[in-house]
Amino acid sequence: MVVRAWPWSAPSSAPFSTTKGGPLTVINRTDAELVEASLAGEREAFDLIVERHRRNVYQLCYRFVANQDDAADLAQDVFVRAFRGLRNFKGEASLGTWLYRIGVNVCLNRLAVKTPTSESLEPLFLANDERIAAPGESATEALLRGERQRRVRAAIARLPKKQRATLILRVYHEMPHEQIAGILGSSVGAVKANFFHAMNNLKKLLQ
Amino acid sequence: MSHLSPAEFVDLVDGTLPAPRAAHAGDCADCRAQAEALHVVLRAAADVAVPDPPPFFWDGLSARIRAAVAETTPASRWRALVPLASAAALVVAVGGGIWIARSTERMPAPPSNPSPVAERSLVAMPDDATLDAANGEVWDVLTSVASEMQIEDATAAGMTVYPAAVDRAVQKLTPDELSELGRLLSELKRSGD
Repeated sequence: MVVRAWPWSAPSSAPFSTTKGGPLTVINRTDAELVEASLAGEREAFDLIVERHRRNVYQLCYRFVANQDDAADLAQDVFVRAFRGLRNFKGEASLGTWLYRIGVNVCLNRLAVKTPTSESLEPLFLANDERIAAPGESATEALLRGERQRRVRAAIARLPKKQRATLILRVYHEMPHEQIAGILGSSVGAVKANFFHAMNNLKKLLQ
Repeated sequence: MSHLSPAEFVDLVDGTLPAPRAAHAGDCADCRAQAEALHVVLRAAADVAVPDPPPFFWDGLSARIRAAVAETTPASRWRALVPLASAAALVVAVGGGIWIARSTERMPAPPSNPSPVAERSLVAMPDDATLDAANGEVWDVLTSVASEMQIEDATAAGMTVYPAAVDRAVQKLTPDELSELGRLLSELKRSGD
């Protein structure tokens, strides 16, 4: 279930305030130790897992939906599913990879059921970052750069789902093909073929 | 020498293509043009950043995740096994049902004095109209059961879940198989209520 209300006033220091042994012992734990602590009932340990991985998970989701609100909903869904299935995390891959796997499944499922309203509308508008001129860049150049990014983002949104997932994991999360294959449940050959076709289709869409 | 394959183009872009094949990419105008085009596209894609959300966004995200997590509990080992056991039972039951149904089709005509059991089976077989009416219910039950399954449970069992895979699999079932699946799912759902 997605909690849509944003509890802005919730205390941000909660993850570290009630832990046995003091805050440092929580912060210094490895991901595997935090998983173990979460399973033992320490909610603060899971809070720290969220804090460590929320940016990557959110960015992964954003790449799929190109929309801040939807990406936040999806990121929340990823962490809730991760919490529910924490016992299934065996530590064979890193916690980050495991979260990516859940994230890709959640995003692909969302794309399978959701009409493309939000993802097709948002790229029509430039995000704030895209309108701000970088150092040494004129306002016109910043606008053109923003327009280029908007076109690429819209083109990526039109790629078939598997190609999009492969492109996102490879280009933006710099994953090796073997890891992408593990996440998508494909062979390395299929991942490379998907990546090639993603780039080829992107080229056609941008022409 | 043959042109580069899609996988070789990817290796070329990654800089991992063996030297002889990379040399071909330098000599062959078609492969060179394709490789250059891929480089251009890759640079354009890599240039697209995720806009930074406002600074208060991250604490808000953590807080709403905390609130959502507080409403749930981690699945116990036994609870995680329930959908898998159900799915396994379902596969066995459907497989068995279909096998029995197909065996029955191949069997000779029933004797003139059928046993009470056989009589009940014959009465229970729905006609085509009943099947059509039942299909809508089958979809309802299927959707309901599928929505309760966790991706993590399926993944932990070694299954890979692809979007719409269930739809595709079910679409391949015959009306009889679909009806049997619906009946079994209904029973499964009733026993879980």
